Amino acid sequence: MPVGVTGVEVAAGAGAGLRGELAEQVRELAVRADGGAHRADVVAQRLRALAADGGTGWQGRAAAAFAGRAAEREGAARALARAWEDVAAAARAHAAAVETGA
Amino acid sequence: MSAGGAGALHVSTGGPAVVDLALLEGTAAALGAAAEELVLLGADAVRWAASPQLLVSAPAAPASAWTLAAAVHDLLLGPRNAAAVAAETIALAGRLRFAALRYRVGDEAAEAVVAAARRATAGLVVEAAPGLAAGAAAVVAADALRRVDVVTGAVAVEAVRQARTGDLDTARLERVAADTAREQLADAEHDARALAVDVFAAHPGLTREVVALTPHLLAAAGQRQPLLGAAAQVLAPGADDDVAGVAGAVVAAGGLAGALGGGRRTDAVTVRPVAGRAAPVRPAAGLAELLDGVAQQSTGWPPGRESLGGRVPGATTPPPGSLRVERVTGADGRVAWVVAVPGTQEWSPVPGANPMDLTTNVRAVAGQETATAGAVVQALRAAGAAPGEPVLLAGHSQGGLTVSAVAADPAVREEFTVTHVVTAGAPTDTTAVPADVRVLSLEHVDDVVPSLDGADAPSSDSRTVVRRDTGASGGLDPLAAHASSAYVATAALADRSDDPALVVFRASAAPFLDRPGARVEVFDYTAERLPRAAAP
Repeated sequence: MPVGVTGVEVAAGAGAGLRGELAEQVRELAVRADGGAHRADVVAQRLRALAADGGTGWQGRAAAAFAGRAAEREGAARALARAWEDVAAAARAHAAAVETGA
Repeated sequence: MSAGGAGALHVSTGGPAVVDLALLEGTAAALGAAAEELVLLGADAVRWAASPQLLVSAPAAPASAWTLAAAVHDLLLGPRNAAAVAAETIALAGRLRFAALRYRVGDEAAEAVVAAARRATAGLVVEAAPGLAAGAAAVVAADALRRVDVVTGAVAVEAVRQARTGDLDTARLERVAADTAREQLADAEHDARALAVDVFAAHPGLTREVVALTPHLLAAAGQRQPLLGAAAQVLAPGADDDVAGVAGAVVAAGGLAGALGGGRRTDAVTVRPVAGRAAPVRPAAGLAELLDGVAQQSTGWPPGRESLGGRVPGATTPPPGSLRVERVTGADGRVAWVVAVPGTQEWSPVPGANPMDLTTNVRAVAGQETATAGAVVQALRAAGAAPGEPVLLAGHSQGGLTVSAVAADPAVREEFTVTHVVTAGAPTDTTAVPADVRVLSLEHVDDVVPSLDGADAPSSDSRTVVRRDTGASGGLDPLAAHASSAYVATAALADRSDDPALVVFRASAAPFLDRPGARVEVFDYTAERLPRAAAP
């Protein structure tokens, strides 16, 4: 029952279209989060390579210590990648909920 | 130790070892590059978390928003966030570089390198300090540490070059350190700090969340590398090397108590009177001035902005959590009350002292009690509103959600006589306000927020919905149509409209508005969510 007045419309309105648009934008954020997970995985791979190669440059306890520390950093980078993946998954679930109004 | 060939050493301490110094230094450089990527990744995480789409979509689906907020919280502040991993990686790179340096040039020269780099990089860290003081971030700290690492590396290279000639020129080391530090400051291309600071400036609530990690980051790095320890000392003067000490100093400086513990606060609330704010000289003349009064309670009210119609001379930015109660007395002595409640002020997913935050948004849309609603009731009570005296509740955004919920609360209706509700840009369509309360809802069709309750805006005998397309949807700011100033403009149109629904609403609201012989008194409050221990 729209009643037009100057510059103002008194009426009921629909929000489904805006919700769909917003859900799509949240899905785009999920794709960006996927990219973050990939980049963190790449860093982890570089750290793994350093852990493996660095130990060949010297020997003894220092080498073992470095390999251990580098492996810890690799594990941390992989955990970071998983954190990005969790964010991406949560964003996709949120997008679906926004779209359906669940 | 003894040299066994070009660059190779046999080390007798700490067990037998043969070290290829070039490989050691190359590994340190590669670790530094990995840390750089982690710093940039951390900055991206902060920018991602501050995306406006996340903020405005939260009320549309509170349950999934909460899950997402927890995942983002873990990404930014979890034990393996990007900044923490970057700092640990930088620390490891530093150990390798200094080990190699000590072998190459001896302890004395290595100490000279440390001294030169420390003096030069103190400036770097101080440069980062304004961002840290304004709301530091782990990303900012990690970025500063990375720059320190780069400067140290450059000085070490110079020291090694000098060692080959047999002369240690400390003045030259100082110059190299200073030059490299200047280059780092000018490095805009990879300026993660600038990225982070921009985001944090736009979202101060997020900033306070992230900053709490910073001292732990610095202290952890400082324990492994003296130079980084010096950085921590610059950032947190007076703090000792103990993690808790450093953390305590910075946390106290930033007023961050409670920022990290999501469970430390409840939705219990208290209001405190505030004296000295600029007061209105008369009651509001219409809807636009009513909503302008709401906007004046927001921390987004810019200093120096003139109030609409000059009603509140000298209005300036209020303290966080402000709300205002106005007592309007007509020439006949009858009293009416107006309560103005602003929108969201804090976007942190963790509830803090200011109840006008994301927690209240999620709880309000979910139909739960909120601290802000409790504050409205307490404010009315403290101001002296009595049963039978009509009350008009006005709110923008979260404030609209809040006042609708208050009007629908049976306990409130027993204590006060709420007769009118005015909301702007609020998803209130599913709130069951009783039919004897007149509701006016202003909703912009290009404002996504009012649609977030998932319902069409229903008009009825007691509810008038005014909708308007502001034309702002094509602009760069996704929230332009949601701004309180945009709603004040719409309210001004509604004030001039001869639509029968609006004519009737304005006539019914006359006791709250300016008219001959009417006067106004104000009661200003700030609302504060109580810590769990202090909650009743």
